[in-house]
Amino acid sequence: MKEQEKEKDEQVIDQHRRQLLKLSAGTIAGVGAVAGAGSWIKHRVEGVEQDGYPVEISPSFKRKDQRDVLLTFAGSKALGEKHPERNLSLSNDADGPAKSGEKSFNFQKGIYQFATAHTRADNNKVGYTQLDYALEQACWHGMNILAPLESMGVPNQGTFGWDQSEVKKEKYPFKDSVEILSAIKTAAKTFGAVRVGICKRDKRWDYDPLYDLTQEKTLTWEEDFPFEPKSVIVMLTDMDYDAMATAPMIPASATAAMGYTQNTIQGGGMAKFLRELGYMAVGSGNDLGSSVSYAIAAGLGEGARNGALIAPNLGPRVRISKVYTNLELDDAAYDKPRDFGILTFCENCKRCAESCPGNAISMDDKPSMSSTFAGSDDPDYNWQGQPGMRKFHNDAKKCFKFWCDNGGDCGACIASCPWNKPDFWHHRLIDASNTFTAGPVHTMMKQADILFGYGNTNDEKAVEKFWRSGFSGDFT
Amino acid sequence: MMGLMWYLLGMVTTGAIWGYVYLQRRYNLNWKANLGLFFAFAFAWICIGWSWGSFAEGEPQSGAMGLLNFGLPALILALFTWRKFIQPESK
Ligand code: SF4
Ligand code: SF4
Repeated sequence: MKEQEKEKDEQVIDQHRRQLLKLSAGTIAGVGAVAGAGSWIKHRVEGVEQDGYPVEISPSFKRKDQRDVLLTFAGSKALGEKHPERNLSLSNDADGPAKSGEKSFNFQKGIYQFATAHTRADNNKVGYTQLDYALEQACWHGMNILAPLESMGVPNQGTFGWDQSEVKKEKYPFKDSVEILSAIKTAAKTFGAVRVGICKRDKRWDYDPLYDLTQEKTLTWEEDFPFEPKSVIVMLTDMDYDAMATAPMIPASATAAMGYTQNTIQGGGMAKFLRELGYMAVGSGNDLGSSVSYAIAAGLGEGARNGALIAPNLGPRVRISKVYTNLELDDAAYDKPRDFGILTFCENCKRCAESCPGNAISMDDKPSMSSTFAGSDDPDYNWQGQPGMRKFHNDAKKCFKFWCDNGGDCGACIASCPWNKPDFWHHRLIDASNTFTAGPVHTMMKQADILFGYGNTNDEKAVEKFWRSGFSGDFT
Repeated sequence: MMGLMWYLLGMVTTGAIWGYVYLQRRYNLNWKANLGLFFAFAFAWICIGWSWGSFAEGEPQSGAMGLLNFGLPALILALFTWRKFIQPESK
């Protein structure tokens, strides 16, 4: 009897042991799987480093002549006189190329209309009142004093000046590239930048020749620029979420203007910092070269369908400043471009294109090497296009025309983008999932974004919410 | 505001663990019951986090959608699991 009981006890103990073993094995496998998946997701979210520039560039790609940059052309009387065909090509009444008998859009008159819009504020029109324009003008004020007309691409202005006479004779004795990198990134943080990256100077992204519309004069890198740049430091500043949510109304223009003002402080500050350390440096905003291309090269984000940079966690709600310097780092110390899965998302999204009041954004399914919009074959119409780069080529002229009609710089393609979200945990969760999912899931996420009430444009309630945002929540 | 949410979610999680231990002692929880409880808890957790976050950021539509899309499945799953897999298995 005792024998039987002992045997039974042993059987029970054995069974427990087996269960425990199973449970431990299950737990270890579970923890292993979660840790593996976690590190893979982290790797995707932080961006997968790319060996070269992540966008296909054809051998026939040509550097951009700044005289073909839309804002430079629009701001220049001389260029308007030199290229009368450009002012005859865009229809003033309909979208796209002007047909015979249609009135055409004049870029120089357009920019005047845009720049004087605040004088026509209408207190009966939500989002375009004296209050809205007062804020917009106040936000431009800093840039207008610190680096006037930098948003128009005028080089050598204020804090972005080219004068190198104050460069310290003695270079600071940095130990190595890591110490330099750390100093630059810490300085960027101090200037208020939300992201910073450093890449090699790449002539492909620089305008050539440069153009100063205030003097109606072309400038060259070789003869006029004060030194040969070796590296470019790229900094991002973010724009206010609530203000951008009012796009295309004027509070959205105000936060964009504030972005420009911050650019002049951050880019100008970084250039000054480097000159104090004994290196030549020039800060830059919309002048000198393509900020989006440099930001991609510095690993800060990806070029999106709406033509803007999309930075992880911030979306396209950023402004970019850059600093050209003769400081050089070891090859390994430069930031590398990264793939965050953003352009793949764009292929299935198109929300910005659907929301664009100027119908300026491409609705193509895939990026292409040149423009595909109506009139893109006609050089008199597509004078500002830049073929030879695989991206979504948009019709910037239609965008600009809307700005002039609107009296503010729109931003609907920023506000509507599913990547544009404030800093709350559930948005970071969705951002993370978007980096490794694909195809139909992306389409579904875009639809969910609409259903959940995000990305609305022309929303009068957003204006009301914006003007209360300083008086509620954590801010006060 | 968000700090309070994380604090409450911590309390909810602790409460859920206690509740689970109690259920395990009182009922024979098979794998279906465990799975049902896990997903009901996960949906409820996301529902609170999502909706709270959305209301805090001033997006009531997203908050309401969070309640509907995560809260409702959590409730249905919990009830279904209770009726089908837990109640009939009392020790
Ligand atoms: S700023 Fe406005 S008009 Fe221009 S591309 Fe974006 S949405 Fe279209
Ligand atoms: S709205 Fe969609 S398509 Fe447009 S930039 Fe954002 S993610 Fe890309």
